[in-house]
Amino acid sequence: MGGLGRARRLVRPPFVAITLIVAGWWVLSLGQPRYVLPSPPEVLSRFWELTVTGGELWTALGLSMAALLIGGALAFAIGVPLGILMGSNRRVEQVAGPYVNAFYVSPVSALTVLFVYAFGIGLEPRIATVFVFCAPVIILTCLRGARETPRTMVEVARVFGASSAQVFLKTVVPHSVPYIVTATRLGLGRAIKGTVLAELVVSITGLGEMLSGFAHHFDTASLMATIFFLLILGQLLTSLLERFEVAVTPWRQLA
Amino acid sequence: MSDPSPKIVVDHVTKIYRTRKRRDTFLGRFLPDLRPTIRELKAVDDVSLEITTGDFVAIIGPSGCGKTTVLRMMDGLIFPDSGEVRVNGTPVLGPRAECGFIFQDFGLYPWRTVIDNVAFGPELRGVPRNVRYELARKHIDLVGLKGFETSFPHQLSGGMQQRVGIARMLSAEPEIMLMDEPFGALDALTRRTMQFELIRILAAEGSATSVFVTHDLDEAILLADKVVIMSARPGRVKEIVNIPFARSERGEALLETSMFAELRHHLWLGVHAEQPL
Amino acid sequence: MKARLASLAVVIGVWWWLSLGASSLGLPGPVQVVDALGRLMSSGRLMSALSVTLGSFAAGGTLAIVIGVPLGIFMGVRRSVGLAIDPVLTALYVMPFSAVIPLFVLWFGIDEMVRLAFIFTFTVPQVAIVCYQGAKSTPTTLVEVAKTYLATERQIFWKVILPYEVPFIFTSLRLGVGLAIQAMVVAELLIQSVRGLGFLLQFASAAFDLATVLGVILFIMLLGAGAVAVMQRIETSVAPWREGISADGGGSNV
Repeated sequence: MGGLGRARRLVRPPFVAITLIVAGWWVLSLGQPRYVLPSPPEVLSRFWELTVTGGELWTALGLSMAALLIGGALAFAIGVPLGILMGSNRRVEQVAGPYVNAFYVSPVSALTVLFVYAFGIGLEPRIATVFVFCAPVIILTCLRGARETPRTMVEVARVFGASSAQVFLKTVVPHSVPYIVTATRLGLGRAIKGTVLAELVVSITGLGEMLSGFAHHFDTASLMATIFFLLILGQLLTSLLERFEVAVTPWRQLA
Repeated sequence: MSDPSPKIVVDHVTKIYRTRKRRDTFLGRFLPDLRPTIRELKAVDDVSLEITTGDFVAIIGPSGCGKTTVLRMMDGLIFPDSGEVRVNGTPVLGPRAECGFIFQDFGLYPWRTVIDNVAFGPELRGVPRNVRYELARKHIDLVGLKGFETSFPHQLSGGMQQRVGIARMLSAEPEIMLMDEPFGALDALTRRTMQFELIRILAAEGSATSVFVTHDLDEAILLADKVVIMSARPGRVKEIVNIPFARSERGEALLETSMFAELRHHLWLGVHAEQPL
Repeated sequence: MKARLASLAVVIGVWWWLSLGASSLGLPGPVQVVDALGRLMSSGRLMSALSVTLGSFAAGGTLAIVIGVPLGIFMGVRRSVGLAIDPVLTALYVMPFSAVIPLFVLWFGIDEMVRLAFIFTFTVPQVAIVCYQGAKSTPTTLVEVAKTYLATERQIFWKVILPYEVPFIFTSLRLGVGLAIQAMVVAELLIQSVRGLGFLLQFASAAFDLATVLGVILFIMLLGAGAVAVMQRIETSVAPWREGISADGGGSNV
């Protein structure tokens, strides 16, 4: 029991899954030409070159950052107040809600064509793409935070003679804080998706340029290395923000 | 009370809960945890009990004293780390047909109507539909839910939901009824009603062996023949109090007698000493 | 309802006013857009493009559901399998999906196959994750009740876990349909095709026919939102016991 328990502790299930996936990939790659499916070591060595020895991916990421940060910041600056307002005022929610929801569920990537039409192929259409990708999720998450403020909290404030402005500032807004942090995490994920899409559809720069360039030259190993880079980047940022979420709101029970 | 072959024997039972805390970080999901933090919690420490056929036993004690743990071990839902639980002379290795169990949060299937919930036990045994429905109807009538056969649980009040729970247990025709704070989730008035209802229902069903866990002293005295007081964690048997009332005496009037008040005071002193802040 | 209609009227009114007053923007008005869309429909171009696009959508989406739902349930029932696969699915789900398109084009070419593969890979993690969470969250009491009535493993699965899972399956279908449509549009935009909706968009855009571009975009977005709304309706109408269970993964998951 002890030995088995120890073995189980050492080998985590996700580790097993990833080992199996890599092994399967390796076996598959044996019978294929390199431009179709390179083997894991080849991709790994390209990954090393692109991130450590050469560092092209970091440069590309830097180029992508502008659209990501500006679009994301805009969505945050507009989305958080709008979401809280919608959550605390039924009227506003009734009027704006359907549009936000529609943008949330509909394929907003179709709008990129329109952005190119309106703004050309510079930075602006990419900012707009990032914005429409992440604003709805930020608005809707903040809306939930404000709307789910327990009635008793509001009533306690009223009993102590709080004005409506005080009720809003002392109960609704603090109750929304964890949701704002969650909204940032979800928004960031969507923003990365929007950035990459914009760089493939709108104007070919940054990471998008890397991707399409490698594909163009049938450099599949580099292409896969870039995809893994994005995959790890998304995971790292998400888990970082998850930790931040816990650190910022110590009073919240982990759900 | 000195039956040579007790129905349920809890024999020097100890139970320790272990929880391993995991670092839930990105890398922690993939990498092995070399020095895991393990928390151990001794819930039950060397508990021995004997319950004879036809007995109605209540287990009381402060919250977290392991009274539910003891009950769950009697039905083989969990197993002791050391010691043994025997029912009808054989060790408990898992849930068995002789035992029925009532859960504090009812445990009704929200997608099943009342009658399908009540007929659940026979259904699992492969009893044909009309037979098990007849059995279920009988018990639905007994618990006073006639007319609600096709309702869904969420359409019923808490008291009615637990009536369904009782009917479901009775439909499986158990020899032993194990009840885990059966009325703990109900409001005080409904709880009192349900206590008298349970007395009525059990009287109609004939005498089965019953064990129930509660933290309601009145409930324990009103229903049980014996009250087991357990100490705070780790749970040990502190005292066993005999309740001298006959089955026929158990009713509204009993609550007002000085005997009842004395017993309640006695139990209160026993539990109060163990009650943490 | 009144407020919503009023706000819709205001939005359309402002659009109209913009298209009339500030004609320097070159913004076509609602009438022109509807007109362009009408012409596309009557000429049959919209329908033929739509049928091409929807074909891969239906195939990829169906495949994602057929594989994702059982996979998720299996993960929930066999806990170690769930623990093993969950991080992989989550990683796929968080990843910017359009990045794999160049790779998929290398592998599958530019025909129906690549769209199908893309829609499938993009949709399957979400479907499986929702079903996994549903199966995993089956209340222990419900399982224990079955155990006290001596249910076999098989009976616990069919009579407890699966019925409890039903609302989650419908949630996963709704989210899956939404994602599959998004994937479909991304595929249309990024893979050069000669017949689908994406081509229609690029063609109109190249011809500076903004009315058609707007019309097609509006059409696509309404199609997506409408499909999700229909799924939502189905989701809430199914399972009368639902009030007892909350299976909403919609808000925080996307």
